[in-house]
Amino acid sequence: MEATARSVVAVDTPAGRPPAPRGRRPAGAAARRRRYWLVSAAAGAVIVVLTYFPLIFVLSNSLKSGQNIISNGVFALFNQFDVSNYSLAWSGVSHQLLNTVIVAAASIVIGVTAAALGAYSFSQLRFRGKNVLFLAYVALLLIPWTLTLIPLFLTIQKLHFFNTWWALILPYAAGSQPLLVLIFRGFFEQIPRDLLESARVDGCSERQVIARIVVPLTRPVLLTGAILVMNNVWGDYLWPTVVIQDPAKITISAGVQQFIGGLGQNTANGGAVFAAFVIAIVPMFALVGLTMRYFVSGLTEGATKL
Amino acid sequence: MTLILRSPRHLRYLRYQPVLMVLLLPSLALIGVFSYYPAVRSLIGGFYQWNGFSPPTYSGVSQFKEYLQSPTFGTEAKNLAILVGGSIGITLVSQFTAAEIVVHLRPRAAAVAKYLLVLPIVLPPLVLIEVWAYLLQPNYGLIDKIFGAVGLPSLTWLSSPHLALVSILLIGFPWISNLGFLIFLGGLQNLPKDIVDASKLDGLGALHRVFAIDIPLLMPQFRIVVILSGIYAVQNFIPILLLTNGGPGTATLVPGLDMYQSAFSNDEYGYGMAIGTLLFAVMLVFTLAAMRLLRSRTA
Repeated sequence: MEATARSVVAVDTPAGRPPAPRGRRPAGAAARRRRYWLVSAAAGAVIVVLTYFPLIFVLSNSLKSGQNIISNGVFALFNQFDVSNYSLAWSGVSHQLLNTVIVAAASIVIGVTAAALGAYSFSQLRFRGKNVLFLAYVALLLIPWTLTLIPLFLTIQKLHFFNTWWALILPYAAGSQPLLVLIFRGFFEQIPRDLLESARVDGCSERQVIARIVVPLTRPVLLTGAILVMNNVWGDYLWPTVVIQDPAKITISAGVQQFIGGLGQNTANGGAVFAAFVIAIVPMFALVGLTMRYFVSGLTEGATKL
Repeated sequence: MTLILRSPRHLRYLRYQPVLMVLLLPSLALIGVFSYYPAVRSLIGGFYQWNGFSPPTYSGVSQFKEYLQSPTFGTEAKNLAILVGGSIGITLVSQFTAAEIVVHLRPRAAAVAKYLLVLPIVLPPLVLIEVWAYLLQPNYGLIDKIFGAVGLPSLTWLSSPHLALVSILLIGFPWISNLGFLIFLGGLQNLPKDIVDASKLDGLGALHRVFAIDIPLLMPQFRIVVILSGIYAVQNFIPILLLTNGGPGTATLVPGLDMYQSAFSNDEYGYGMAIGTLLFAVMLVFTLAAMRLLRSRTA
């Protein structure tokens, strides 16, 4: 842009200098441009490295014996490749990993289905009190989890769900409703009404309309919802420790903490702690790494609706 | 009936009315039982004294008073203010800066950087907290080694009363991989192109442009990030629970942790819910204030 500005000035000079040829940048602009790219590329590299350095330490330490972690010092990266840490960590948290997958799958099935059906009626049907009801969902986004933590625990006890997976599944499914209904509704509203109407005219029942037309069209946003619920179940530490007593039933975040606590101050097993971290990180990195587009759209959709 | 006759459009919708409540029911049942009922119960529960076994007794506002007059309240409020203020500042600076850097990269490099910076959002918070507890360990932790290398004294981060709060804030450095980064990046990528071009024509320097154009135009994004990170910081006592449990002494005690301990360690459920209600009120006031104060100046 500066290039054009300069050539205009050149035309106006009374000295009669020939104007700079059209389309050619004056010398210096290219160099400045390159320097600009280099500076921003360097800054980009710095923030990526700063973000990932703790993970590099985790990976490096997960392959070291406990003694080496301490004696090597933190800067000695990848100087030992001892995979036995992983077998110890795997035996400690694999069960919790399976629990997490089961709880997440059930939370996704219940939460995403309920939210999709709700969002479908909010977007495609007209009924009295719809706006008030929808406001009830939006208002939930303002209710902090610290307010509901204690009474939710009491509710779980009263329903005799304490120390069962229902104590996790149902609150996770319920907790996902406001955000998912919000995201789904926005997506469902883009489905052309005439498409659904013509199916109804052709004799499709409401159930068939949903199963044959709505679900296939909205698969991407349902996947987004599933990923968001999965991430929530995977990362939640506090709630499982509140409602699950049996260590064999707990999910991965709390499971990793239990595993660390079980090893105690025994430095010989220090490497296994880091191996357990890696085991807790990799599945989510793989899942979201492969479905990044859906994950990002879910996060940003939710935020812009606030 | 008149409603039905008004237009064929209404007829179309009303035909499916019996179906609709069935469709909404699962979702409504979930939020009714597991969101609204607990929320209402919490707001009522603060007015009753209850240990979880004997029947609750009505106590009016005495539990709210008790908390506000408790010897630790002053410390808790101060710690909360430091943590909330600190993490809002940290979040805004780091995530906005990162978004500015990424938006200035060439398209392909920007896509790669965005991918790499978004991925760690799914790091389980527990793992992040425990890794930072390791990095902050005195004598052989990374931070101490770096300090030693540049000639700074060795510090006992988490066990020092003066540094424990700072250590809690340090967790997650460089604090980029978060929703706020995505919000800022989206805002910067959607800035009106003619304004950006005009600023370049005027020969505005990059830094000048950030302050004169990007930040004022991104006010709505700043508002969302301030509210989200503020609410998160008010509630997030998990690093404190895991690493210091409020200590050393009461150096890192916050209202959320006090609430958690009242209910789940001391069986004072009513007292805990009273603290929860106060926290809710604080967050509500904070949200409304942020919405008012950070109104976009262009709209």
